Amino acid sequence: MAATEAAARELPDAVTEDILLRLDAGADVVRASATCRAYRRVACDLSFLRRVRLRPPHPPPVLGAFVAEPLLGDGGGTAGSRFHPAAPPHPSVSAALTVARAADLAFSFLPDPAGGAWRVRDVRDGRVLLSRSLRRAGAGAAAAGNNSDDFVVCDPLHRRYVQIPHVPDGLADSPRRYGALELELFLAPAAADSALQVIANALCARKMETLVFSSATGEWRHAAMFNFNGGRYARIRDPASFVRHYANGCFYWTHHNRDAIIVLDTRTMEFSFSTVYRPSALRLPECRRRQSLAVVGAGGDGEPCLVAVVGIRMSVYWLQSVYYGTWRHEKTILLPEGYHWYVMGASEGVLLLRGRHSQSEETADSQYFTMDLQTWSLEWMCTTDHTIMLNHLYAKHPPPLSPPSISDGEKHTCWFSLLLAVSFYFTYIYCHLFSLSAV
Amino acid sequence: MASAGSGDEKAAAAAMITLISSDNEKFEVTEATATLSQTIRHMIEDGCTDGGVPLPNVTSKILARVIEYCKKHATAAAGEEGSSSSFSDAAFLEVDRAFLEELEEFDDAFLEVDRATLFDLILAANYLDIKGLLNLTCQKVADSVKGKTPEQIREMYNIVNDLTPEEEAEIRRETQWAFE
Repeated sequence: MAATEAAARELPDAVTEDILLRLDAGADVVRASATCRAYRRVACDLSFLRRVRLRPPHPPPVLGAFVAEPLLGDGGGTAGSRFHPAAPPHPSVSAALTVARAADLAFSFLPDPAGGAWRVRDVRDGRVLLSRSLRRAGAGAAAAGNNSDDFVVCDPLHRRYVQIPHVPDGLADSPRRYGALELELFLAPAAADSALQVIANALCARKMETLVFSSATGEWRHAAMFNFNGGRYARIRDPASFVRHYANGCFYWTHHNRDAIIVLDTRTMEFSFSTVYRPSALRLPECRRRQSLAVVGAGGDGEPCLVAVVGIRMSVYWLQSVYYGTWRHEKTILLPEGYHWYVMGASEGVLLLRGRHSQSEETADSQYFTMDLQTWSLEWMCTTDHTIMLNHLYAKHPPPLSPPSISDGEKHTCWFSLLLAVSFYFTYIYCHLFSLSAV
Repeated sequence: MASAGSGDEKAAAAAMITLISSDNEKFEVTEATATLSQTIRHMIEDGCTDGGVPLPNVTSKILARVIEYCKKHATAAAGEEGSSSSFSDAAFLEVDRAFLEELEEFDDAFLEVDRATLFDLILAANYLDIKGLLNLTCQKVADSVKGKTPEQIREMYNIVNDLTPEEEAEIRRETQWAFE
C-alpha cells in the first residue's frame, strides 16, 4: 500500500484542484482539505478560489432575502431590515437555516444600535451594504440625500464590518449642482485584487458620475463620468426611474418607459449608453411598468439577457449587441396563471419574481419565486407582505477573490481564504486595513 | 491485451501507433484510439511517434486499462465522419442513445477498481491528457469523499496526516460548521 500512499500525495495540484472543485458542498471541501497539507494548500490557493467562483454548474442558491421592516413610530430612526429565509419546500431551506444559525442576519454587531436601525441597501457576494440616516440630522438628512447617511459593509457570518466614509463633496454636491437626482451606493462585484469596493453613482439629468471606494486605499476616487449630451435622450428627467441590474461584470440601468439602457462595465469603468430597439412584444403597455424588465446574467457564462414579463409570458432575449441595441428572442416561458407577475431583480444565477394573486386584490401578501437562470426552473421561495427590494437577495455566494490579508499570520489567512472559498455563507473579510477591534 | 483490430473496420484501416509502458511492454493501438490522448496527439502531429511512444510514467497494467478505455471511447468518436477525433463531450451528441447507455455502463464497470488503481489511472489520464478519463476518475474520487470526515478520507486513500495538532485544532476551530 506504500505505492498508494505515494500516489495519493503525489497527485498534481491541478488534479487535486479538479477533484475539490467537483464537491458541491462547502463542508465537503473543508473536510477534504483538512486531511493533509497538500490538499489544504490547493484549497487555499488563489487559483482555486477563482475557479470556485467561476465554476458554472453551481449557481448560487438563494437562501432568502432581506425585507424592509415598517418604519417605527418614533420618527427618528430609519426602518430596519429583516432576513426572510426561503420557506419549505424550496431547495435552499436547509442551507438557509444553517446560515440563519451561523450568521447574525439581524446585524446586531453593527455599531451604536441605539443610533437607529440599519437598513440593507445591497447584497453581493455575501457582503451586505447597509445604511442609516443620522438621527441628529433630522429632517435635513432627507433633503441632503444619501450622502448624509452612514454606510457600512458587513460580513454577517463573521460579524465584521467596514465603515464607508462619506462620499466626497465633489460628487455629493453634484445632485444639487446638476439638478438631480439620484445618488446610489452599491457593491461592486468581487475584484481580483481582493479589495472591497463600493460604487457611488450619481445619475443626473445630463450625466452620470461614478466614484469608487476601495478598502485597499480607504478612499473614494473618481472612476467614471458619462455625458448624455448628443444622445437620443440627452436629458433624463426622471433618473430615479432607472432600475439597476447586474450581469457578468456590468451594471445595466433600464427604464420601463424608455428604450434606453445605460451600461457601466466595472472592468474598464466605462459607461456606454445604448438606444435599445425593443422587440415589439416589449412595447406593450404591460411592459411599461417599472417591474417588468430586467437584465440578467443567464446560462453558464452569465451572458447578459433581457427578461420581460407581459402577463404570464416571460420572454427572454439575448443581448446581441448592446451598442446597436439588437436583441434575439430566445424563448418564452409561461409562468403559473392566477398571478400578476413582477420582475424584482436578479442575484447571480437567480431571478426573483413576485406573484400577486390576481383575484384577491385586497390581500397584501405576495408570493416570491426564484428562477434558476440556467435551467429556467421556477421555485416558490416564500410568502410575505413586505416587498423584497431589488438586489436584496441573499444567496450562496461564490468566494471572493481576495486573499484576505488578516494580520494573524499565514495559517490564519490561509484558512480564512478556504472558508471564504468553499462556503455558501462565507463572505468576504475585508477588514485588513481596519483593525478588527473596532467592533 | 495488446493490439487493436477487433471489430471496428474503420479503425483497423487507420495507422497504428506503438505505445511503450514504463516496464517496456509494447501496445499497438490505432491512431484514433491513441489520439484521445492530447499528449500523444501532439506527438503524432509533430511526427515523433516512429519507433514507438515511450511512456515512462505509466506501467503496463495501467496502460492496458487506459487503452481499454480509449478504444471504447474512440469507437464512439469514430461515429462522426471527418471529426477532428479529439475527445470531447460534443462528439457524443450524434451517437445514438443505446450506445451512450452502453458507454455509461462501460464507464461504471471501468471504475470498479481498487483505490490504488484509481489514483494510478488519474495520474496516467493527467499525464496523457485524456480529458474524458480524467473527468471520470476525478468524479469518482470526488463522489467517494462526499460526506466523509477527514479521518475517513485519509483511511480510504492512505493519506498521511502531516498537519500538526495545532494546525488541526485551528482548522477545527475555524471550520466547526463543516464538522457538525
